[in-house]
Amino acid sequence: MKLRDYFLLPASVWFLVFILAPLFVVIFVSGASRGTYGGIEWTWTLANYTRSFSGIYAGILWESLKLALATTGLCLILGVLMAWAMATAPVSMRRFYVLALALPFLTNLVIRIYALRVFVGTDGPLQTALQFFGIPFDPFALSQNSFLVFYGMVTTYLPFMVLPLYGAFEKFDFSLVEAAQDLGAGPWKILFSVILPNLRPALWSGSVLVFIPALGEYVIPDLLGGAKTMLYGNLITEQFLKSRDWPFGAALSVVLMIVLLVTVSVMQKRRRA
Amino acid sequence: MLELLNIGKSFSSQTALKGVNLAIAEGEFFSLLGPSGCGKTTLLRIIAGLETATHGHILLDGQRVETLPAQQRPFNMVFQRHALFPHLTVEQNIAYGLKLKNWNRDRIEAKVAEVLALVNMSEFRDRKPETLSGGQSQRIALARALVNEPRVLLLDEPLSALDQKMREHMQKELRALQRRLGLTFICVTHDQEEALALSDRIGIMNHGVLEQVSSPREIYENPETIFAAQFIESTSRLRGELVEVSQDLATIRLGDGSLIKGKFNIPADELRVGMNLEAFVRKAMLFGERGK
Amino acid sequence: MSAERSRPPAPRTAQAALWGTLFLLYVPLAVMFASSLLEKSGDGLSWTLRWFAEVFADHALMEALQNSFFVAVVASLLSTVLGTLGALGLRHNPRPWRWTVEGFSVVSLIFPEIVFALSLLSWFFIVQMPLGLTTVVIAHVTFSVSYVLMTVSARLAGLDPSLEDAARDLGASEWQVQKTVVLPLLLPAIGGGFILSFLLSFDDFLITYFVNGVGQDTLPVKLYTAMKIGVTPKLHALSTLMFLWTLFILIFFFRSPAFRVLFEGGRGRNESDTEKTNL
Repeated sequence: MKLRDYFLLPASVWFLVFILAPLFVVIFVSGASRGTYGGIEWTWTLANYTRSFSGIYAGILWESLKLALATTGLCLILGVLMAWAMATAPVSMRRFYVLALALPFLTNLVIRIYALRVFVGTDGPLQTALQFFGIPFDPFALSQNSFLVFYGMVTTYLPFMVLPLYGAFEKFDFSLVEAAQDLGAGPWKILFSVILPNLRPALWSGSVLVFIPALGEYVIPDLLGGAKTMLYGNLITEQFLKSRDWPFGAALSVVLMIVLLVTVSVMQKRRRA
Repeated sequence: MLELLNIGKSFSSQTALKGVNLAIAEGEFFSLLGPSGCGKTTLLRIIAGLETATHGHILLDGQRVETLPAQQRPFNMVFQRHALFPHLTVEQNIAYGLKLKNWNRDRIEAKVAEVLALVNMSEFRDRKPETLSGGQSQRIALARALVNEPRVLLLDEPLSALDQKMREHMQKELRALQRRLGLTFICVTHDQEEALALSDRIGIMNHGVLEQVSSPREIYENPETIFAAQFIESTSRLRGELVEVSQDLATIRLGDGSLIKGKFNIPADELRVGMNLEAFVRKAMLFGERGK
Repeated sequence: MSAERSRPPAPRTAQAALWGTLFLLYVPLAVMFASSLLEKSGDGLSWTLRWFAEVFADHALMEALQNSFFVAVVASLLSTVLGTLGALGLRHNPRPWRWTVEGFSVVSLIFPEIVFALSLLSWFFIVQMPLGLTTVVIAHVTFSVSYVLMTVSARLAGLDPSLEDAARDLGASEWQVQKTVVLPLLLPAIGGGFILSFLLSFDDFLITYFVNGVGQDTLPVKLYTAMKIGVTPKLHALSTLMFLWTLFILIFFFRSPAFRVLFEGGRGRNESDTEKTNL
């Protein structure tokens, strides 16, 4: 008995030291000021927070929220459709689909975004193919209007939505569907009235799994967006790695965390309802 | 040989056992009989040491053992779902306890072979548990417990996972084995026929209380409580007025005027003509307890 | 197991969504793969392995590969140990402790990488720990532990508790019970957790980018910095190689019992046999 009690210790200590403590440090730092050469000066101020809610910065937060919500929404729609198709496919195909989805998910994000960029870039295959058909295509314009970023987000985050949804669909009792069919309901009616209401927990967890990381996404806007695209993740990163205004960056992250916590608890409550 | 004194067990929300007293004699086949949730498995696990009683003592040959952990008690258990280690072969499963006692290899091998022969499973020595049928794995579970030569063998509903035919077969085997080895068996079951068929004595449990401990015949013929009576064999309950009492028979007039006669199990001086009684009728006999 | 008979199929739209998305997911990858094998010769294209050769000849890249490998192995070992111990301890510990660990575990799985990255960076700064491969390893362990914990816990939950009771009953001390019964049965899950950690670590970009030292890049970081400069065929080859490497690990992993644990949960050959009744 006694030995077992110590098993939890290493992991707990690690979490406390490397997750909890750092978070406190961030909160701490967010109240400090930027030193002249980019260091941290320990003069307490709330200026960082007021700044994060002002003008451009609030705007960036808003844009990021919109993008994250849009990504989540589209992933939800696509996810439901895909998971439905997967769960009703012949059994031998299902594992293939799962793997096909998991593979990109488990490979490096940078590679995938790279591949995308190559694909839609100047002299890239998409442009070449479209030119062949006489359709003019300007990759530059594409990256400017942030459609590409949205596309990148959705394709990156889809597995986070589809795989849990698939898990739930897999366990779903399809005899309910057969019963509804027998009563004369068409497939879409069945989806909305029979399947989805029973899948609510999975819908919520999938949404949470997409929304939260999406809000803080850095790589995708950075690599696929043009100079104009700056989302919250990029903003924060810039403070830490370029402008060296750590206190401001810390404040921004705290704001991010608060937004996330609020969203998650709202989602949790709605899940219980 | 084995005594349970005032064993009680409570969990935060309920009391599983209330002051159980029991004495088991050496070499007897004792069954704990009762419905699900009556506490019989809890009691068995307390004897085994897998759970600790909230109060009470367990004495083995007069020595207190309730403070000993399960690994040190000279008892072994056959689990309900057999609990054979899936990553070990049959032989390794059986040898598990012996290895822990640091026996040398040859001795272990010989003993394992011996016990495998005892349960007629010698050809299965190198098989893995997942390849065994219900009856086969049960025998191995038995062998694994027996090989350690326990003072008492504890069996937790050993036959419940088997189908009817297999169950009857194993019942005979179990009883024969016990007789042959002269070991003490304590067997938990909810099947009254099984208990009646196998045991030297039966302990009936209900809601954490040991209601009656007697031989099968005694329980059948003289159940001490209504619960015992009904559990052993289902009965019909009738209500009526006592009309006449003779030496060992009572006559009761039922609501519709009909009369029934049967044996009674209350002291005669408590019976008075004209009192209302509840009678429990079985195929062969009739009992009553004083009515309200 | 769900019924084996076929289910009413989803409408065409759903199936189209499935195939369309898979297509869109893989086409860019396929194109990248193809481009890494082609080079412009004269007016057209010809097959070549030149770009791959250039990748292997690039010392900086090879060094980055070494770093990635080193970090992945060390971080996976550490997180597997921590996660396994954590899962074992989680079962039997009193509630407040459990809630803390479980809570952190969930948090580390869901929170955006950037929050992790910057909090660790700040922390290293405050405690004045120099940034280098050590800090990268620490960071990787931090986000991997939860995955291992989840994987092992799932399997642990599926184990028949009477197996441990049986071991105790037969005379095994608590430590022996863990060593001879629980751990062997847990091995596939532990293996799965290790591989998952490895993949996550090897492929990690953002957190590594934040906390690594100067000149000690891992492969994903190198790829990123090169990408910012421009798209070149050599990078196509590098990306293809990295992708193939992940694929290789996945296939290897797919054939192992560990895979079953991750994708099919705690079920599988873990319960002592029960319902078979034929002789």
